[in-house]
Amino acid sequence: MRAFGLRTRLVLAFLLVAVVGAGTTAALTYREARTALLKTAQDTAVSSFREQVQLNTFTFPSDVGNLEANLRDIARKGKPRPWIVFAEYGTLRASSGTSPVSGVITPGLRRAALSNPRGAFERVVKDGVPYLTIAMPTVFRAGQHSALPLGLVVYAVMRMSDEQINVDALLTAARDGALPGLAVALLPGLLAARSVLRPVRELHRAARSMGSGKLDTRIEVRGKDELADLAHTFNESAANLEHSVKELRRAEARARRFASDVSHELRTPLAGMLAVTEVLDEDAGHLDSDTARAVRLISAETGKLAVLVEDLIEISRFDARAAELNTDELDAAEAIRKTLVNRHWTDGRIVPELPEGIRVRLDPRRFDVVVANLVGNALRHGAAPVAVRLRSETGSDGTPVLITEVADSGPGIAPDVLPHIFDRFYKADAARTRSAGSGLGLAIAAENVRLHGGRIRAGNRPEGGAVFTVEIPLFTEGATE
Amino acid sequence: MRQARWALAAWPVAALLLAGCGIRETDVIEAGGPATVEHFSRNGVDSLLFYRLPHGELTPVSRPLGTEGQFGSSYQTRPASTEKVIAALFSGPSQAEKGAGLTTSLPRITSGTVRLLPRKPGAEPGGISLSVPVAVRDLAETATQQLVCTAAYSAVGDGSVRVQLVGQDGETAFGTCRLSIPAGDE
Amino acid sequence: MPRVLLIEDDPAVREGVELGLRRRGHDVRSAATGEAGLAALDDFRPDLLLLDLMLPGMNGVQVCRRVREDSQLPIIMLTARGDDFDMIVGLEAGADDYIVKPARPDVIEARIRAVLRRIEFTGADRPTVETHGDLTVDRAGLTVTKAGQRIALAPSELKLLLHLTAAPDQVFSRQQLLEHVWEHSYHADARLVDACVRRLRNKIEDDSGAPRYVQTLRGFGYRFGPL
Repeated sequence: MRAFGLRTRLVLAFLLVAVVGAGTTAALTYREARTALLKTAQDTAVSSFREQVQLNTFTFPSDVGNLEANLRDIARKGKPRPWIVFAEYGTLRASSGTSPVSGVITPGLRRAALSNPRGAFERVVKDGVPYLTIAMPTVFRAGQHSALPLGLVVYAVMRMSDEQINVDALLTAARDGALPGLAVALLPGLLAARSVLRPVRELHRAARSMGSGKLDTRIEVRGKDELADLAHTFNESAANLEHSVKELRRAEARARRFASDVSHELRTPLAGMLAVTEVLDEDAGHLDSDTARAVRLISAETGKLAVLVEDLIEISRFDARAAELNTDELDAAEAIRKTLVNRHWTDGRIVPELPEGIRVRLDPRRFDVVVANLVGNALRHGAAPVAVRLRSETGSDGTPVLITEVADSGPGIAPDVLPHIFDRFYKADAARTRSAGSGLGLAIAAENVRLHGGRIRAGNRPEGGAVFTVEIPLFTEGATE
Repeated sequence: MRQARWALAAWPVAALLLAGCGIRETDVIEAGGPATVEHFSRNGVDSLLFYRLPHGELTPVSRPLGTEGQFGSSYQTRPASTEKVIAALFSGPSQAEKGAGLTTSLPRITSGTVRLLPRKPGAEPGGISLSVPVAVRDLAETATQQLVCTAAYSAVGDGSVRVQLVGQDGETAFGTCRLSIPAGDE
Repeated sequence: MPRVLLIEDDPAVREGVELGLRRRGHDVRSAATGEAGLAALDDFRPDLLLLDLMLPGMNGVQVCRRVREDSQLPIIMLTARGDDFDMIVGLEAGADDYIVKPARPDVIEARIRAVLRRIEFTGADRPTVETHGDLTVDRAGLTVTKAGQRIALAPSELKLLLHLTAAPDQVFSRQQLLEHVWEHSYHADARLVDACVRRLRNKIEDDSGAPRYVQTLRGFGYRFGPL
């Protein structure tokens, strides 16, 4: 049963109910029809037999020879089925068959025929075979209003083959019983199936809507049946889920706002501290060695702290969706070259492969951050030489994209690290508690790429070394209008 | 389990269907009137005599007792007289009739005559009185009916006349032939 | 060494920046509020104003406007990254440059020097006074007149105009202008250029909506002319 859908099962069930209903109706109709058909057949046989008898002229007193001649004549015209005809007159016995006396005719029928000069029939089952026996007493008309019983009773014995009757009855039953029954049962069945399936469909739609993030989706509860209970339960669960998710989101928002607030609060004192680190550095030489080391430590860590706080603020701006894209059209190769020059990455460690003439519309500052973070990461965690490649391609969706590739010659990224490489503060090496960077570099790079509507991927080259690939839509057409 | 439930539900239906099958026996059911047949008799020539069937009921037989008219002659066809018919009745069933199991309830007589008596004044109109040479008071009902029916059908075609028997021991009340039944329309 | 007036409300930042700049030889005067800063202007007569935008009371943008009413004193805004709206408003109000806090003294000094640096007058074969339409640009006297009327230009505006007129009809990308006029990095915020262009147009164009002198080439940058 699991192989079928709910709809199929419902329809099958209703179909079965319909068939049972129709079958019952058909069976009743069949019985009625059969009885009626039997009666018709019997009546036809009786009246037909009477007619045949009446066509004959009898002599009285009769003799067997005359009677048999008469009987054979009647037997030949047997309708609607062949019959064997017997005659009894006094002690005379004659028949159209081989035996002059029938073994099927009951004494009861004889008695009835002799005592009451009216036609009669009796159904007899002998050895499992049903027979229709008809007794037809004879009279002759003696005057205008009277007749005289002649004492001659003519019997007909007819074997009832019920096949025809059954077939006819079945046809009648099917036509008058099953089909209307089926129609009558199927219509409410389908309506019921619809009424069951509609809430199920609604539930399906609601569940899908919930899945797509519309947590305020609710179902209209109709009636008080099991489906209404289900809808009610769904609504309750949805409400709980919505509440939990809202709570979670609030908590997350609070946490983010807190991080953002902390960062902002840190920025002002840091600005003051950073302004005086130079003084500390310069004067450290005049201090005793311990103090000098302490002073230099403070100076160095203040610088790092400033970077970290700036990165945190940047991240919280992404989280708050407050990051803006200030795009400009420029030459991609030049932009990357400037990034490398500004960072003094002009020695042999970096191998730029930057074809000229690729115009792209992007936010120069953010693109600078992306390239700088990727190259910085490659230098810190990979190994030189670091190749920076640039090319334009047609992306998977058919629009032209700018591909920036940063590939180092280090050991590559461990497979278990790959899925988390863009996570915030993710430490590839658990033993290393702090990296030289803020731990947010790749996360910020990824956010910046996403802000451009692009994609960033990390992987390993077959020949060894990690490779980061950035895809950014070119958007050149809209920019050169 | 599910299939078992369906099967359970299907049982009554099947039973119901099967129950309707097969033709069952019935009692004796009356269906319409008797067969009204032609009686092979020559009108005016044949007379009806009533004898007893084995089971006790009376049945008419015809006898050519009248005078048959000759074609082309002036000799007219004349039915037999009641006296003659009654006399023939007293003589009992013929050989053929005996063969068919017919018997008579009348005593065998050797002498005496049968006479149709003239109508008495004040007597019932449309009735006939018949003098027979037997004691009529002690006659069995069947025997009386034999006489009444035979006489009635001899006197009138439809046997509707009332008959009084006058015997050696007196007379009976006027009676009718109870054998006749209303004719059907068929 | 230039005289710098610092208006900054936070004592730590104020003291730190003052300390760092003084150490580098600058003559620094600081004020905690906009009102105090404006009051110190006449007395101190600074060469440059370092102005924090977020001030209690009279804010940085208001101070900036007040100064621009009668002075072309070089102004550098101190701003935090992300305070985009304030920064744009500050630039529209007439600030010449901006510094993102927190910044080291060497970065601040570099900005100061860049703003104060004069455009080198190169090419002795060129006349020092050029006329472009109604505009007359005196490269030696650093004055600009329009139809004989002298136009007061802020330092960044003047430098931008001088840079553009040095090569009329030539297109400069905003990145190039950032690098050459402001000595910023290639990737710096180009809105600095756009704001300055708007201010300049307001002063020299007949109709700033349909500029004649400083023209925009969408997707490429700006150029002077052709007239």
